[in-house]
Amino acid sequence: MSINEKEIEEKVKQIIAEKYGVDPSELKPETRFIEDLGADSLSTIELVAELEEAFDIEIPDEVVEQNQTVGDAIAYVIKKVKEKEKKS
Amino acid sequence: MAKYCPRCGSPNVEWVLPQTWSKWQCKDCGYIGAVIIEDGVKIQPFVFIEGPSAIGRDTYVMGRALIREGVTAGPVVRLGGEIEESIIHGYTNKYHTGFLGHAYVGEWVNLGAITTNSDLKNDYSEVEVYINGKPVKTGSLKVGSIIGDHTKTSIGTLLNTGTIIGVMCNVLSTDLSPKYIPSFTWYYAGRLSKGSGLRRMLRTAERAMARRNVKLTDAERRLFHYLYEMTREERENYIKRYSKRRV
Repeated sequence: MSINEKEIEEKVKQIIAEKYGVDPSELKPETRFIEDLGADSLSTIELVAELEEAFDIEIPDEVVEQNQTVGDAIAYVIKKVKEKEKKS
Repeated sequence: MAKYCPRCGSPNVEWVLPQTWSKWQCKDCGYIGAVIIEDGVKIQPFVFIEGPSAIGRDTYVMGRALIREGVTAGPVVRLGGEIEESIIHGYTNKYHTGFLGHAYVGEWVNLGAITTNSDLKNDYSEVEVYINGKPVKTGSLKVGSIIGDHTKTSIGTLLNTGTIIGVMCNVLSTDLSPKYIPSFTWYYAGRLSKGSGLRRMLRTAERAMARRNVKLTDAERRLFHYLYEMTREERENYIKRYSKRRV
């Protein structure tokens, strides 16, 4: 059963919110990981690993730095999930 | 594997028979003792090694290391700081200052500078260790840490008496560690997590092994995948329980 974009967005926000101890409603597309959520390199790797496990996708390290906001991360996960669905 | 006299360096050493205790005798200089040094070991100045101890092949013992009785280490280990009554398996780095006592350390472990384990409780009571989530009495007053293969600790890590750490963990401790850290987890900023995930952990292992010209084999890779699944439920339960306890 495929997961729709809204569900992906909610799930990504939930994972980010748990990771950084904020309420999911506080997360906006423009919320920045480092400046607004206090992310460091370790918590970023943890977050990426949790997203990979939650959506059964692989996120290469080189794209992690390109995703600097919550909106970037949601868009990237949606793209990867769709790619995976196309292949299957 | 040749064994060398710690006094004169001669390979002409033999066990003293009958063996009531591990003693060696050098046929050249007459040394009788319980320290044995294997091939390729490099010992820097001002090192103290107390017997019985065995230093495995191609090990580096860093300057001013204090290696007290009952240490078996190697092969290809880095030894520094103060070590007592401990077994340290191959390719592990305990390079820096810090105390390790009554500990059992797996392969490819890296202990950051000043990593120190307690091996005696302040009230001198029996040490308990956690096995399958339950405290188990050891019957001993002195128990250090048990550390699984490929685990790393950060600088300044403080390990509680009788701490057990699984394989491929990353312990970045700013306070006294929990007594049990499940395999494939990170203890970081006072909480447990799944860390970087198995794929990245295996990549880190490959990098660490490449530094000693060793390749991670397919069999080892399969083993770690198997262990990851085998320990999944326990890991997830611990992460949940630990996060509740810390809130």
